[in-house]
Amino acid sequence: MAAIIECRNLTRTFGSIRALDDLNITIPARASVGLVGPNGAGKTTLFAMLCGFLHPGKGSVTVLGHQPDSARVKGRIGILPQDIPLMRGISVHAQLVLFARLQGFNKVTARQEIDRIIQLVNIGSLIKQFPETLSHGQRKRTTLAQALIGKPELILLDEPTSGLDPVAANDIRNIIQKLRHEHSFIISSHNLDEIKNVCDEIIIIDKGKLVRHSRIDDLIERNNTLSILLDQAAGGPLLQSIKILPSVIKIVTDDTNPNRLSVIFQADKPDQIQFKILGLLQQAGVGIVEFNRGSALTDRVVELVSKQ
Amino acid sequence: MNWKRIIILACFDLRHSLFRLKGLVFLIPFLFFWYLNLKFLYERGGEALVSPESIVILSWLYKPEIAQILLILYPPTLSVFLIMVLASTPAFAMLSGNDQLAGDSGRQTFRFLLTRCTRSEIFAGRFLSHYILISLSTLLIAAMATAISLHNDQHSTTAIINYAGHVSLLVLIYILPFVAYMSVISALMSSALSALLMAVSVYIMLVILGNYLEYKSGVSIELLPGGLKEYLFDLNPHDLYIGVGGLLAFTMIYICIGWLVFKKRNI
Repeated sequence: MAAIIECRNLTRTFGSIRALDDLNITIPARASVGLVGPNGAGKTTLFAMLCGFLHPGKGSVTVLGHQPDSARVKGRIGILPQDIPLMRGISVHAQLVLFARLQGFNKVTARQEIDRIIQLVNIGSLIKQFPETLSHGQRKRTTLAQALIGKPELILLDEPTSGLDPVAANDIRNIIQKLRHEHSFIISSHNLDEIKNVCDEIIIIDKGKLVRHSRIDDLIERNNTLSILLDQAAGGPLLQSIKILPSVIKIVTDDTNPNRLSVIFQADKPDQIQFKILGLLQQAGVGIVEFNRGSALTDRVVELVSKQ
Repeated sequence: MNWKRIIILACFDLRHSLFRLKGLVFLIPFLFFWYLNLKFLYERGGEALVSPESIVILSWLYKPEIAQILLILYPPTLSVFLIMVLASTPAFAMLSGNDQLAGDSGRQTFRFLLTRCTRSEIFAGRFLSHYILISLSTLLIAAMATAISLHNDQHSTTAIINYAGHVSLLVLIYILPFVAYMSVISALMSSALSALLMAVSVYIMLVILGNYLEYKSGVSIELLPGGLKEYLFDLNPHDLYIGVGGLLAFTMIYICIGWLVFKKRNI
């Protein structure tokens, strides 16, 4: 499958700071990719380069097979920039119509497309208002709406749920979930649960360098790890009884949180080992707070970034 | 470049400029300035403009023969209008064009446009909308000045209409390099106010530099389009061609510089 994004030796400096450092990434079409990394890792800079807002210092970047500045990609990319509101003093509706017209819709079809987007993002009550009069969450929804106009092939979302209340964040996650099979998504977020739920792949960058690009299932070893959070620390006998189960390779306990443990196993039928462990915990009278297949994404990201 | 997108951008910007600070900061002083001057021309124009005193005053600013041609040969109301437009265009172009690109670059709202159109389309769209705004406003005033001229001046209607067309055309060309100058400044800066201050500073600096170089070399050196004003008063066609050609050359130079700056800048 053709790549929608290809970065080769991409480097960008701001004064003495290397925002991106020799970055090589290839993202296939129809992928949902989570872009994660600590603050200042270069995520927003990468987004800005993919959209042509910034020019690469060194290296090359192609989006949908063309340079980001090329007229051929215009209207095929949608972006939700981080904390940038729409233009002041112009109603949301007027701006959405402008964006649709620039994407090739005529006056009539532009209004139809805006009506579709209004329904999708549920911003019917906001469209007559000026962006500066909207709350943070409402602004986020309106900027998300503009990113979805014209069903772009690639949608870049920079911190789509940051600063939102749980209900608003959940609404946005649901919209992304609904659309994830129709578009290619790249989502930059610090919320790793969000990434885990809506993305297939993850790109971890730190200090402008690529740390890891893999499928999320591979990264968290979903098929050979169980992450368990108990309501009390597991005692030695319980750990021993789990350890001697067939297929269990190792048990990793967390020194900082003795209630948490990871069970690493090698089994063709992971469900069976899962039931056996649940049975042992029940017999020992230990309550279960969380029980997840795969290691915690947060732990894996922290581990990989801290190795840098 | 996709002209359809350029026209959509220009129309949108023009329509919204009329009701937003970026347009009002130009329109309010512009209309106030012309209200006062047109009122003066209407009430005290006509014979007063062709008096010897008026010719002497104008001779201080330009050559005596230019003063005579403007106030006697041509309808004086329109000549005074032309002189005033040429004198005030730099200031009004700065007020009108300071937010061509600067504000939206600084606030990063161009990011919403840049996924839909190219930088060259944004640049051209904004240039066009600002040029149309100041041109249409000036043409409106030109129409009023023509009406006053028809009422006050002793020339034939045909002569006044012909001269009004000539003056309007000159004004439209004269505005071009100033809007282009503002596109350079606006492409460099990140807010409308800083663009306005920078435009004034650079303009004053170039005036001083031009005068200094002229003084040193003894040759007339025009660093700004304003220096070509005198060529536009139709003494002979050759001068007019030099004036118009110079204005178009300034426009091209400024547009090229502005485009290079905007092409390279981070948005």
